[in-house]
Amino acid sequence: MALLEVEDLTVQFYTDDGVVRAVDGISYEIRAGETVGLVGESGAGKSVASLALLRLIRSPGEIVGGQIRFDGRNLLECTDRELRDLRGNDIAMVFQDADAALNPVYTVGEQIAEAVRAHGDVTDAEARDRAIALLERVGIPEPATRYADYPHEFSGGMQQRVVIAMALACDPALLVCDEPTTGLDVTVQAGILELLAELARESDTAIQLVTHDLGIVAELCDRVLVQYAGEIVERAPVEELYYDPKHPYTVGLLASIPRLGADSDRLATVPGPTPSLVDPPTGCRFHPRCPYAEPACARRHPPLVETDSETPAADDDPGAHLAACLEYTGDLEDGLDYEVLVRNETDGESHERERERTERGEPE
Amino acid sequence: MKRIYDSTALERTDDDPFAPERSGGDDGGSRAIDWAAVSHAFAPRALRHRAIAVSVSTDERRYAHGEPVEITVEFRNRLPFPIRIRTDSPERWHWTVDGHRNASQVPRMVPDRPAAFSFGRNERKRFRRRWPQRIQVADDEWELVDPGSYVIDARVTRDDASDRGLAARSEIEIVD
Repeated sequence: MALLEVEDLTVQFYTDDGVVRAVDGISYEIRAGETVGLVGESGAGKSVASLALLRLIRSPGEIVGGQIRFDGRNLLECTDRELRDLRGNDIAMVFQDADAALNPVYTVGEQIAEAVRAHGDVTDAEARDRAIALLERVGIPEPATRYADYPHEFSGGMQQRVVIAMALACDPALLVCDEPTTGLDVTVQAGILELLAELARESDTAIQLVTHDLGIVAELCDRVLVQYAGEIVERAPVEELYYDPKHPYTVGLLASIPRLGADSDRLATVPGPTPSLVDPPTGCRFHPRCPYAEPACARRHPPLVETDSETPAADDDPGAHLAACLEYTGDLEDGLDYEVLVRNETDGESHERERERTERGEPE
Repeated sequence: MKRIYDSTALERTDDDPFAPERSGGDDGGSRAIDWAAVSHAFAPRALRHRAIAVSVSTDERRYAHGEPVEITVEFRNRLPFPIRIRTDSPERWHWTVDGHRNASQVPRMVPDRPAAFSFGRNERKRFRRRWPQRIQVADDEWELVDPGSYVIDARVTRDDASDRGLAARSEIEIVD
């Protein structure tokens, strides 16, 4: 049994403009010790999907359907007290903006110690020692001294480390990281990623990493879920997603990563704006932006299926490569037509592998 | 050193650092007068409904078959004070095409509980929808409508919206 099983989760918000369905029937699972990335553009519903795991959706939003099972328990049926026990103890969250997550009027050490005390029967001295150990674990130099410092005395990267230390206070089985490196410079970002990778290696903590940065996913994750307009459109082990993307949106995302030495004058983008979740496009939600869209794409919503066997997602194993495109249900007449170039640069030599796929099922 | 939970400077209902803050808490407005609530308390019900003007318009009257229809729905508070009207659902208003709510034959998952649609003084709320001339006929299927006349209706989500003047309609023609 997986550690976390999300099934048909639907979250919507009620606004004057209408009902915003930020998460629309997503299903996935995370096994113990696994790192799963949730990627997509801003507004795709990634953060909402993560907040829903801890039932942190606030009015005017609510979870209207689905199940979230953690260790076999349906979190949507837990009482507030049960949830309080679960938050921090079993599932912890690292929020995007560390500066806002920390209380400016208390020392960072006290804030970590509070998390320790809230979830365990420990003395003050033990909580303090544990907080100092956690500060050390996340790479804060001179942790005993820095214990008494306030958040404003820390840099952005160190604040994020403190937030991670708070999340780790009770050795959670699942760590939900919502864009933990957004707003940090690349060197600090690398440090945080290294820290998370180390945690994943050393402990059995599973990580759900929400990000719009595909580079981070490549660095850290075992599997990837690609979310678009509230839905999961592709799910695959990380290497397969990068070397053999199946959904046109994923292809667009990968193509839009800037590369050093690229000979194009302009950066590649996925054309068009993200759709309104109040009034999403009919059929496949990506069809207005998809270069391979056909009339059928506007009329039929593609199910998430195994790309080779057309097996529905629910019947498949978590390691399978799934995509939601009519190409994989045999409903696309002209098929997808793109090529994936993989450049391996070793010892100054460049090898290039090209693959072109013009029709479904056609060999490379 | 003072502990977080020793302090009375911040309201903390429980000592769970991962719990969401309570809604309606630190808005800093506890000493300010909620004029919308005052207005709601004093405005007679009939007046509240008469205050709101609803209109629906499309960018054209005639459309080629398959051409998207741009719909604009406007709600306007005619009065110089705030108005709040009760709705039957958190989906405060909706639009229909020939009676199909949100151009769909598939019911949407919206809870059946009352909510409120609030307007500031003389406020105008304008919303846009794009109807691609398709009706949702199943969870995963849409069908293009045939050429002909179609009625687009927008209304506040209340059973008595038509009786209370909280609905408007517009007719379009789709030609081959």
